[in-house]
Amino acid sequence: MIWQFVINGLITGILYSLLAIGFALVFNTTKIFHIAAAGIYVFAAYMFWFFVASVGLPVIPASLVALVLTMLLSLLTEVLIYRPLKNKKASLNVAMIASIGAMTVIINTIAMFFGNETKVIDNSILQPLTFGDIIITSPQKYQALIGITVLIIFMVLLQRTNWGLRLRALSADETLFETLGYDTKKTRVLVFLVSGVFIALASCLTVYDVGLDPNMGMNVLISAVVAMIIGGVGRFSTCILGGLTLGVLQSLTVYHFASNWQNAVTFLVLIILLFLRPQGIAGYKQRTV
Amino acid sequence: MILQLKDIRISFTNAQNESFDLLRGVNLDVEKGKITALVGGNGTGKTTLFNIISGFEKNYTGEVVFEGNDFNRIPAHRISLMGIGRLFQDGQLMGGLTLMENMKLASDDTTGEMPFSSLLFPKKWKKAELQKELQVREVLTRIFGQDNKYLNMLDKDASEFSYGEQRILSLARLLMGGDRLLLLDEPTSGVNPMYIEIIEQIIREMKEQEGLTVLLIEHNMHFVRKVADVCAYLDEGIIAKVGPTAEVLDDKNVRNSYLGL
Repeated sequence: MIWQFVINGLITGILYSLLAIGFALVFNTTKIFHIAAAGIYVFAAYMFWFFVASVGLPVIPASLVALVLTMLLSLLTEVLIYRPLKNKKASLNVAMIASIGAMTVIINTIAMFFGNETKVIDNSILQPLTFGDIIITSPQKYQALIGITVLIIFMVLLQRTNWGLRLRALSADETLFETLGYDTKKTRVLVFLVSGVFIALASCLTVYDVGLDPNMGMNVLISAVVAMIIGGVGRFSTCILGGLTLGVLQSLTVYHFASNWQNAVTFLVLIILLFLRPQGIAGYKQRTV
Repeated sequence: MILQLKDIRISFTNAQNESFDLLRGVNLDVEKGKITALVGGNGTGKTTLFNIISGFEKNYTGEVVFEGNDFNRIPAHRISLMGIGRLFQDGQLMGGLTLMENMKLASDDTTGEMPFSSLLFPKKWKKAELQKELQVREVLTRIFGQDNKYLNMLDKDASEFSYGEQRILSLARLLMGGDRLLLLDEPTSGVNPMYIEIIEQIIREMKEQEGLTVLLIEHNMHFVRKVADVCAYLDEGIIAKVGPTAEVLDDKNVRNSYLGL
C-alpha cells in the first residue's frame, strides 16, 4: 500500500518539478520573484479547458494551442512589465509587487470570463495500468511519460548545448554575461518563452486529472517554489530533486496521517530539513569572494 | 588614439534628494598600445567612467569615441563585441560553471549559438567546441606556462577557486575574446603579493605580446609606477593631470590632494 503512495508522490513531484523549473527559469536568470507564474498557470489551464470544452478540439491539439498562448502570455509579462521596470532601474521588490499585480489581473480576468466554479476537462473513466497492487491511472500515465521526457530533454539541452550554457551563465552573473558580449534582452525573451512551456505543461497535465478553478494557482506555485528551495536555489536540476522530495513527502503524510495534515506536516519536515541543510538538498555552499 | 572621452558629464541624486555632479567634463585620450592608469580618490567617479565606456551607464552627456566610432548609448554587449573587454572590481568567474565553460563563454567564435544547433549540426558544433577548448588551453599555457596546474582544473567549478586565482583567471579570460581595449577595475585589489606579481606579468603580456591597450583603475601606486606608461588623475569630476606616470604621481598637487603627502 505504501508503494502506491510513493508512486503517487513521485508523479505529483514530476508536476511540481515542471512548475518549479518554469519559475526557476525566470527567478534564476532575472532574480525576479515571478509570482505572475501563478496567474500564467491558471491561464494555461483555462485555455486548455476552453479549447477542449468550448471549441471542441481533441485534448492534444487543445493542449498545444494552450501551450503556445501561455508562452505568449509569459513573454508579455517580460515585455510589458519586467523589461520596462528594468529599464527604469526599478528594484527587484518593485518587480515582485508588479508581478503580484499581474497575477491578480490575470486571475480576476479569467474568473470574470469563465466564472469561479470548478471545471472538469475529461470526466470519463479510463482503464488504469496495474502492476500488482499498484494502480497508475490514465492521467497519471501521461503525467509521468510527458513529464519525464520533457525533463530529460531540458537537462540535455541545458548541459549539452551553447544555449544551455548561456542560460546557466545568465543565472550566474547578468553583468558579466553582458560584458562577454551576450544580449541579455534576447536571452530573456527565450527564458520567458521556455518558462511558459514548463508552466503550461505543469498546468495542462495537472488539470487534465483534477480539474480547474481560478484560485488554484497560488497553492501550486508555493509548492513549486518550496521544491526549488529544498532542491537548492540557483540550479535547474535541483528543482527536480526538490519536486520529487516534496511530492513523496506530501503523499506519505497523507498515508501516515490524513490529507488535512498534508501541508502542516510537510512544511514542518521541510523546516527541519532546511535547518540541517540551508543550501538545499543538492545545493552547495559557494566559496564567497 | 584608440579611445577618446570628450566632455563626459554625469549627475546623481543623493539620499537628501539633492543633485550633485560626479563627472563635470572629463576629457581623456587613451593611446593605442599603452597602459594608462586612472587614479583618484574613492568616490571620484572612476568606476562610473568605466560604466559609461562599457555601456552600463547611459544617463550622461558627452562623447565616447572608440577607434574613431562614436558609440554613445550602444548596449553593453555590443560594445563588448566591438572589442572592449572589462575586468570588474567584484564580478570574477561565474560560479556554477566550470573553468572551461567560463573561458569558452568569452570566445568570439559564435558557432553553435542557436538553441538547437548542437543537435542539428553536431559535427560542426563539436568541431567548433574543440577549437574553443584548444584556444582555452593555448591562452592558459601562454599566461601561466607549460603544464600549469589550471590545465588540469578545467572541469572544476569556478566558485572553488580562491579570490586571487579567480582574479588572474578572469584576466586570462580577457584574452579569449579578441578585444583591443581592456578596462581593468582595480586588478590588484584584495590579492596577495604573489598574485600581484602574476597580475603585473599578465598585464605586461597583454601589452607587449598581444598588442592590447589597457586602461586600468588602481589604488596601488607602487603597482601603477611599475606597469603604467601614462597616468590620468581624476579629481573633482575632471582629469586634473595627465602625462607620464612618474610625472603625474610626483606632481605636488596630486601628492597633496590624493596621496596626502
